[in-house]
Amino acid sequence: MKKFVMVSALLLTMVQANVTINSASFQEQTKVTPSGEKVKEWVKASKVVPGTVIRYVNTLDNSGDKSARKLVVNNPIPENMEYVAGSAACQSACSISYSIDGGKTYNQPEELFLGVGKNRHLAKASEYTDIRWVVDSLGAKTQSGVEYKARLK
Amino acid sequence: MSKYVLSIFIFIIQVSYAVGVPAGTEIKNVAHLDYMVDEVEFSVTSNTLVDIVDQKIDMKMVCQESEAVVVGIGEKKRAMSFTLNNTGNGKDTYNFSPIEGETLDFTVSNKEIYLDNGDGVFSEEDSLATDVDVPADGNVTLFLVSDIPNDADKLSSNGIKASSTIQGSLVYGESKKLDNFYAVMVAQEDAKSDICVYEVSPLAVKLEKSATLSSDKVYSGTTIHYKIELKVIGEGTIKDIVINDNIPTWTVYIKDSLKLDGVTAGDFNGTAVSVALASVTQTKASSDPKHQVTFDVRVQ
Repeated sequence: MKKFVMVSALLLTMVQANVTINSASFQEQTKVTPSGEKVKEWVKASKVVPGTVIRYVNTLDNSGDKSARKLVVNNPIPENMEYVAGSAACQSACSISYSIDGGKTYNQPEELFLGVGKNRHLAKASEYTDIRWVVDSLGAKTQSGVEYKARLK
Repeated sequence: MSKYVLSIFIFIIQVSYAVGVPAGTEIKNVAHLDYMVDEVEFSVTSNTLVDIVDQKIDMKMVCQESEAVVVGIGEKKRAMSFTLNNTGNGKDTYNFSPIEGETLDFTVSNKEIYLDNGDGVFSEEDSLATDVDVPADGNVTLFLVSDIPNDADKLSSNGIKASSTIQGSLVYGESKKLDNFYAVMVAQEDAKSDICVYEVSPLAVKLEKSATLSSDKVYSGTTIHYKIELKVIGEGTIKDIVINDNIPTWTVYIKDSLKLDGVTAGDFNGTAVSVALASVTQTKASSDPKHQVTFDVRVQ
């Protein structure tokens, strides 16, 4: 009986662990249309110099037969980058929170304070260390995404 | 002549430019996902996304003369001071060429560009500036040195233009592959050069500044002894002369070292030394009525 339970649990895990996450980076580029109009578009990041804003997109892909739920994405902001205020977003309903302590705790921007005494201040977006998205659910055979922008120091 | 105030702008300029993350640095983004399916918890990690920081080619040439450089007719090797700041995020190698500004009442000759040896004063110790390496966020002091013609009058604007070896033929916005990253040209054309002005004066104070180091090069702890020699160009009397000289960044004034003609004089206000002279007269018959201001600083 014990052996049967273990095998069943293993099979359950192997079948249902079908959500993947893939990270990609983009940067804004201005192109001139044949009519001479200047348009901006996001292209794969390839020329990254100090000051460049990179848009990071994490694609969630559920290739399984069952819905996934309570999807929590934690993304540390890369070293040498600073978060661009208000840029975190998601393709479907989600909640977003931020960390200023390396991902130990998360909170809303108005609740994030740094320093003590006279130096205590509301954390600036550039001081955020991590972002968290919580997506309620992701249906079977569907994709969704979460994203943010950060500027290279 | 009313109040005659002279300022000498000098020298080891340590302006800090925030040029950003060094070229070649890897920027890695990794995300983590936790989720549930049928009450079973799973955890996965994304691919490690790596972007490599490219090198921006950027620079800023700045004339360091706060006022026109006063010269006498026929003078040789008169120097103007400039700094080139590498405001890019990678090392670059530069070459330089003299340029002329719009105001050209006279044309100087024998123009040469020298690289300062670290004391901020043009001297024979300085070398011609060719293939000058400047690190990211670094800067060098340059001198444009020229001869003043015998028929010089009024003003002549002259300057230095820098060219980046990495830039080569790239124009603004273009890029090229270096080792494992790209070099991107972002320097504006007008940032590559700057202009200072020579002014010929029939009656003027001429200052010649020289420096002596207590060591073979400038190190922390080195004492720099400065000497400013003053004479009058032309004929006449100049009254109420005040010589001001900012001490260089990253140096400390050595107390009581400020002297006029070997005698303690003047003041130090925390950033500059200041010495006043009531009047200096120059007649044709007289020899050069020179005065000497000396002071010492210690490099931190």
